[in-house]
Amino acid sequence: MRTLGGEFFKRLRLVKWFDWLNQTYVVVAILGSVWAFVWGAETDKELLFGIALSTYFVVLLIVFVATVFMYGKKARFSEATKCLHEATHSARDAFRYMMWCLNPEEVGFTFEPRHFRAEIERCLTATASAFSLTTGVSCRASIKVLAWDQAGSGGLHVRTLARDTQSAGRARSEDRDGGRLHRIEENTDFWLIHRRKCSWFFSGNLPALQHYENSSIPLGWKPGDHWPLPYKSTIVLPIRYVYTNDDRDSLCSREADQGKLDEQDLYGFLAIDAGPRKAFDVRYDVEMGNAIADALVPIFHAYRQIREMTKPPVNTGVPQ
Amino acid sequence: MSHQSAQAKKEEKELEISIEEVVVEQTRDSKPDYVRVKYTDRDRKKVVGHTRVFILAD
Repeated sequence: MRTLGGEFFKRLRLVKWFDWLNQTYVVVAILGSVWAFVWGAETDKELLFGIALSTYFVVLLIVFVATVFMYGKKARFSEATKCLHEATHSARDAFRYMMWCLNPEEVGFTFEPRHFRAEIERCLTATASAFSLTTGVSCRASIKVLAWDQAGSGGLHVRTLARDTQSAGRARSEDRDGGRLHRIEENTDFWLIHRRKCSWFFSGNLPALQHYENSSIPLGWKPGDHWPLPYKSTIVLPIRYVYTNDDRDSLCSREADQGKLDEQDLYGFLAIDAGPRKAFDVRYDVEMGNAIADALVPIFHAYRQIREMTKPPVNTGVPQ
Repeated sequence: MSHQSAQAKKEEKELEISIEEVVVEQTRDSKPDYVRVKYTDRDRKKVVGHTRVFILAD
């Protein structure tokens, strides 16, 4: 319920300060009471009473601090729902645009990659904002897609399709590092998901992670050297569809999907990272990221179809 | 999870991934549409999973 006083403090942006002042007061009051009871006692009885009461207050203080810590984190997640809504809203708009582009004769325009990328960037910007709110530090969000090295020795490598607008400028050099191929097997996070060794990759301390490989880490780097990446915490989530029993048994199942139980269709990866260590919470941040990654699946399914539609036909040498 | 993942990678380093085929599903372009990957166990006797990796990068 909104009150006039509450609105006043909110407008002055003093509510958070007021909360902190209140919490500090409680801590000081409890510690002061404990000090007065223990050091002000003159008899053994008073001292015992003081110790008993102090123990009670100390337990109360621990519970209070734990509650503030736990609910403070949860409160940040509730604040992030607005950004989460914006991210899924942008994903919805992107999907609608893709659906239109699948019927160019009907709508009168064709697929424009720049427009698609702008929609995806809006989604990623809102995603980065959501994670920045939950973590309290600046976060980056990007989508990686896969390429096949047909000209070289063959193999999958990873490329950045889009980034959030805040980090896009800073990461430009990171994305254009001399046309270097980021082979999937040289990147522990993407590789493990691709191999289905894990459903997502999470690390709150990459420099301390043994056997972690990343193709952006320069050759010759060894543990103990300055950490070369702009992030130490990361979450990587697959943009994928895994065929389940529902595809086999439900009313909506397709005959073509019958033999695909437990197979996965992998479209790419949603990567969230942050500079400091231990930025993310494995319980909630992974779920939040998965919500967005799942919302991206239909978009990339349509993107694949549109790419196929807009490819030039193979020149067979036979006049049409 | 993260340490387990790295450990899993270390253990799996020796396990080779067998890329069965590069499928060009639609023939308007000579580039692959997706890569079908089949995973086998260490002895390469049992198929442990399949992935269709869609090639969406230019």
